[in-house]
Amino acid sequence: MKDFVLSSESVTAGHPDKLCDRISDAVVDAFLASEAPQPFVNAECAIAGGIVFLAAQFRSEPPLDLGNLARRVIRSAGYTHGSFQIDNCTVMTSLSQLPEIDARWLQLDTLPEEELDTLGAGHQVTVFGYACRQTPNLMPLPIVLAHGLARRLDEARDSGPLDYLSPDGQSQVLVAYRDRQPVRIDAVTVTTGLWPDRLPSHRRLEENIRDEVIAPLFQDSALKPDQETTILVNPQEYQGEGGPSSHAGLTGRKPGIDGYGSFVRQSGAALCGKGPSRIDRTASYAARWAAKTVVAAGLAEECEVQLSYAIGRSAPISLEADSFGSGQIEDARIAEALRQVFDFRVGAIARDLDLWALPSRYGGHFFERLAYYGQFGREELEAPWEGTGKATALKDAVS
Amino acid sequence: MDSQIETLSATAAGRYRLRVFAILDRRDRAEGLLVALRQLDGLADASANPRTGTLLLQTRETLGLDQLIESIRQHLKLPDENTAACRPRAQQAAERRSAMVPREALQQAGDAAWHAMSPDEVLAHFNVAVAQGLSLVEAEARLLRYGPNLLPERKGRTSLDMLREQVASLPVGILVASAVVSAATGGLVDAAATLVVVAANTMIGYVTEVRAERTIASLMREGPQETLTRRGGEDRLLPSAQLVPGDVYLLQPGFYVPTDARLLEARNLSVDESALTGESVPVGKQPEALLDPETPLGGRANMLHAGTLVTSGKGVVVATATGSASVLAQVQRLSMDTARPPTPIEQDLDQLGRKLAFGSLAACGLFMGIGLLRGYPALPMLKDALALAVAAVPEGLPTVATTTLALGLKRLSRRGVLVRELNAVESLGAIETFCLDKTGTLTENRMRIVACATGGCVDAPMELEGESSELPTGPDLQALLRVAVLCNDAEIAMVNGRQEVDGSSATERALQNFAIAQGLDGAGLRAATPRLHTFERHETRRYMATFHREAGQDVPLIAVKGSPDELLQLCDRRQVDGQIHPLTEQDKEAILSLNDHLAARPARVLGFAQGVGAPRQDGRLPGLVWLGLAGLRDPLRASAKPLIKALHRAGIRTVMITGDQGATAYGLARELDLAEGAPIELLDSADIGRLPQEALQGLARRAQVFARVTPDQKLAIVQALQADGSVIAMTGDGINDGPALKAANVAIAMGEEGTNLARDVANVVIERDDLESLVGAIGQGRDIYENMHRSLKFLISTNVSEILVGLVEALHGPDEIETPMELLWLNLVTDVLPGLGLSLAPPSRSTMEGPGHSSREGVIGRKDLREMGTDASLIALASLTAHFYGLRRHGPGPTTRAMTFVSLALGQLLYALTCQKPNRDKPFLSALFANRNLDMALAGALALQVLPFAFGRLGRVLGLGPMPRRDLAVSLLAAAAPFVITEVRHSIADRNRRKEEQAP
Repeated sequence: MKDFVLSSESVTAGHPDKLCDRISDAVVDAFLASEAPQPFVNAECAIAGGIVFLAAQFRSEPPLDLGNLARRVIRSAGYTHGSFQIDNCTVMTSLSQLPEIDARWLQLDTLPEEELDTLGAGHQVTVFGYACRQTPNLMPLPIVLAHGLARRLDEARDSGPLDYLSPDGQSQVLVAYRDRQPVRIDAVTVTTGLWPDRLPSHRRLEENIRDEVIAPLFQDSALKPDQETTILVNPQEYQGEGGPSSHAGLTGRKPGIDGYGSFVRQSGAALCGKGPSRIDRTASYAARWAAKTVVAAGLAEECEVQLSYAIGRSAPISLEADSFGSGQIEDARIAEALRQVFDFRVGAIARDLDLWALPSRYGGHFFERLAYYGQFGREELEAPWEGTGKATALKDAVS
Repeated sequence: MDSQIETLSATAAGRYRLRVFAILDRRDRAEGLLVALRQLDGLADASANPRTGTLLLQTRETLGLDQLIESIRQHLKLPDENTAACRPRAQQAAERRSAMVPREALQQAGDAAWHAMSPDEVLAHFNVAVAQGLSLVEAEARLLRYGPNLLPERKGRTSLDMLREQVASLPVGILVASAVVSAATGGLVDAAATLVVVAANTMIGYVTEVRAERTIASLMREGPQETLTRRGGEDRLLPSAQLVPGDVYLLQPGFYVPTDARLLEARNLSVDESALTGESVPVGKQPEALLDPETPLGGRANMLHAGTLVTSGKGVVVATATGSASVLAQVQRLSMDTARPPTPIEQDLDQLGRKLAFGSLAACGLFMGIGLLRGYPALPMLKDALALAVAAVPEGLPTVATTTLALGLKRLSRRGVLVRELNAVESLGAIETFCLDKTGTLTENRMRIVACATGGCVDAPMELEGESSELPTGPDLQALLRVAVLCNDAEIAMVNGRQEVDGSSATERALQNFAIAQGLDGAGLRAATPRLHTFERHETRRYMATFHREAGQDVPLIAVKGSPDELLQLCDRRQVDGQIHPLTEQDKEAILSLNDHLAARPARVLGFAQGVGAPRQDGRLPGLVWLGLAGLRDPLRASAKPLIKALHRAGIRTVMITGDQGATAYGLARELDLAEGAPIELLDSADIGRLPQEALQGLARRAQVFARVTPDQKLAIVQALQADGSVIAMTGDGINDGPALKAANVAIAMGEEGTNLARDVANVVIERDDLESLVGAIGQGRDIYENMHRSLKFLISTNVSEILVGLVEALHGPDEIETPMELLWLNLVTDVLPGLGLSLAPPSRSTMEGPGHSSREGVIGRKDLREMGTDASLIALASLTAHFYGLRRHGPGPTTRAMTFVSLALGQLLYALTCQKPNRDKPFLSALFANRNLDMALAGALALQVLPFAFGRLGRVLGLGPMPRRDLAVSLLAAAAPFVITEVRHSIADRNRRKEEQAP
């Protein structure tokens, strides 16, 4: 399939599903940023009926009040007025202790190389990483545009003029492709919640969103909406407030938004709320890292890297690269080079991406910020897997 | 049409049901409205349901519906819709005046306006100047108008109430009715006997309850309080009862606020409002704040409320509401409005009584119908029917139940457990979920230092095991302790040569005690280093600094303590081994993480620092020297953990309710092992009342910990837990617990610290402040229940066997049936003694292993009914065999009756042994005779059975005649048969059960 129309969506930082993702990852951050970084933590969150449910498993003591943590996240998303009363919202936490863990996980930096062979994966998983030349950060165009809309929607509300917007919003961008290259913006849809006490007229809303959100996004874009592009703002003239008081949220329900906007295959495993000791999270970062390095090294125009892990094994049982015919060399040779340059062993990924240290390096909030506007292509966050430092080594490996 | 107030119903008797939309889901408004309405002349009763928004009002003739609505409108400040349009304003005003008691009374009630008014406005409203106070004359006048500042006495239950409660039960009703019928048909002896049973039963219950009330009353204590009141320009100590609205009075630490009051001036005033809000951390108060009228009670920073405690600072206030108009009185009234659900035994006995009444009616009806069809004469028929009715009513039932419960009550009180209601004894044994109040129940409500880290220490703090454990002393610790003593408002007094600490907050007392325990002469240090000036701690400055004159120094010493992170910002050096070192950013980070570590423990953490310099106008301090940290904790009672363990072993779910933050609550739950190893489910909500009912019920069933809970939410929790019919116990010790305690099935007030209200509302009072008696009390409850179950089973089975025998005889032919007096003898003499004996079985050791009985099953479950049916049929069958044997030999008459009587009476006595045998794993004989009381009762009952035969006159009254030896043998055989058959059946069933258990 070389000609097609692809739709990617994104949601704002205050969308209930994203709130849950953020709360889950804020818990992960808290455990990692604590005095004794604790990567063995799982957190899952659901918001329904104005109640926040937070289930967490961890090894040590919780470093802070998890109920207040959830409130802080929701408050920071902008739910400061409206029917979802965050300050007295109810948080039901279910906290349990994980059994004793292998202490070597906490000393990855100093562990001898061969010891890493004995640190096996705790889960089985197949993940896909991807990179392409459609945008400067080597991401597919539709998801980048959708994230851009969501981000501008949040900005227009927080610091901009559109104070009638509630924090719950959604964007959707349809891009037409010819020969796997984006050629046209087919449609742009923005749906947003509105505070009932500040309800604008539909015309004003439409105008504002076009002027403040959509137009600035496409200003620097090579591809701009044309005469034929459908632009919809709150179709069916939706006037609800949105947010947790009107629909439920759940951790891990937005894998496409976290990933590549459904442009390539995606893993069944969600990312948020899993401590960075879990291979079903870290392998996704490693795969993106590898794919991006391939494209940055000029070995292909686009590349999908697939990694598979089995429980108890430290190295991946499968590593495949697919350049969709855009490769300078055979796909198998790309894969071979990746194997040489990258260490995809479970412990090595965590060590090389320095996953344990990320939250404390970013003031205690790294994974939480990663949880919205996508987990990949976040160059502004300096996520280690966006680094292309190994491109030269990769080039050397194939020559 | 009125869109805000809707009249749902109105009766001629002045009873109105209104829907007031403004109180829908607004408990606070509903309460305020009720308080206001109760001030109205002509209102007899008022209640409100905020869930439905309905208001139920009972008026006297003087008050009309229009006036009522007008008052409601006035109170809720609703715009006038229909009246304004059609009537002149003056008329409205006149009506308003006539409908209301003095406007001030309403104002001073729940009206939420004071915190939204400036001090001057409040003073103007009360027509008082702050410098002068009220004039003596005006104060006198107001005292007359508003009455003394006393909380309304909770109406204690009068003796008459208690007597009425005892008499007005259904079994008693049935007995009285049957006595009346007996008397009407000439059975005066029967009637008298029945009435004696009723009287004895009533008296026992009444006397025990009166005694319990008396004991309770003797435990109450209340001392008169005095307040420094400004009257006629002079500050004088007055009894707090004489305060009136508009009085200006002064606050000082350690002072219970006597009235609701608006703050006028304050210096670093903070108040412990836990009595009203459950929040044990004192809250700061400022007079300046003007608040939104909607501000909830806990957030009114410029108001003080009666019953709260001034923990630090000083202030001047003007009283806004006194006595019954205060918020405290409203909370009390809320407690009185909540009815306690009937205890399981009440429900069960009620149901059983009704079932038996129907059974007896049906049997009589069947018998009468058949007899009349056969053409028997009516009068003998009625007599026989009466005999059946007497057989059907288990006379012993209420007696045995009451006696068992009363006996339990006595046993409990010997162990320091006072039960205020007889039925609560049994509820104790049926407890399924135990709600434990953290402060006061699980913790000692006393701060203690648990860890301490001096300036040189940045990694591991020094741990303190006990109250007086000594730390390795050194210059660093000495410096820290010195600041802890100097920068501290707690007083040190010398009592019998020992330094006693008093006043201020629990935290400051704990610090002071800590320093003394480490060997510091606190009093001496204070005398040698007098305080010159103080920077009090407040919301924007989370530390306290004191300036002291040190001997031989020109510049004052500054002692500072407070929030570690804020204090660290002020420090540039730290003290290590007596030397001053610079404080690096790295050090600060290490200290902060140490702070987090301590806080999560959970403990409250304070930092200490010192410096030199004079106090500056702008409140800034020079660079300080960091001295260290101390972690404080409200320690768990030593007995808390064993209590939780014992409750879990007994199959009782435990729930901790606390006003603490989630992290602290989680830490405690971990320490107590509330979840028994499972994930700890913690419900963290500052406003549980807003949750949908179904959601709260679902969540409450799972959560072991409720954090950040305020008092009115405790009620919501208890009600949610009760939604599925669970029996809920709850402990409490404060006024704020009142409503929830009242709603709980078993409300337990703990020990000496309990306030009057908690003791009044509770139905179980643990006299000693000791959790072990709590477990003992539950065990007692279960034993009592088990005993009652045994005797009920016995009494009902034997009754049914009598009904069966009587019915078959009556249907078989005329004159065959036993006489009414014979049946009453069987019920009273034969059955009651063993019934009592069964109810006095000694406590079993295994009572607190595994769950107790379920209140949903009822005291007599389905399985029991089946068993009892079989047992009763067997006894009846055997007795009827004897009856028909006698009938063939002697025809109907005294001898045949005697045969039936003997087999029935002895069969029943033997059945008592079957009922006694609870533990079938014990050897047969020792299980059979495990209860000495029963053995004696049986011996006595057996002896009594001889009387009718020994004394011919008694035999004639009962309708029994002498009987030949051969017939006696047949009767004895018939008596033994059911016992043997039942025991054989049981042992076979036991063997099968054991086999099944062994099979994989």
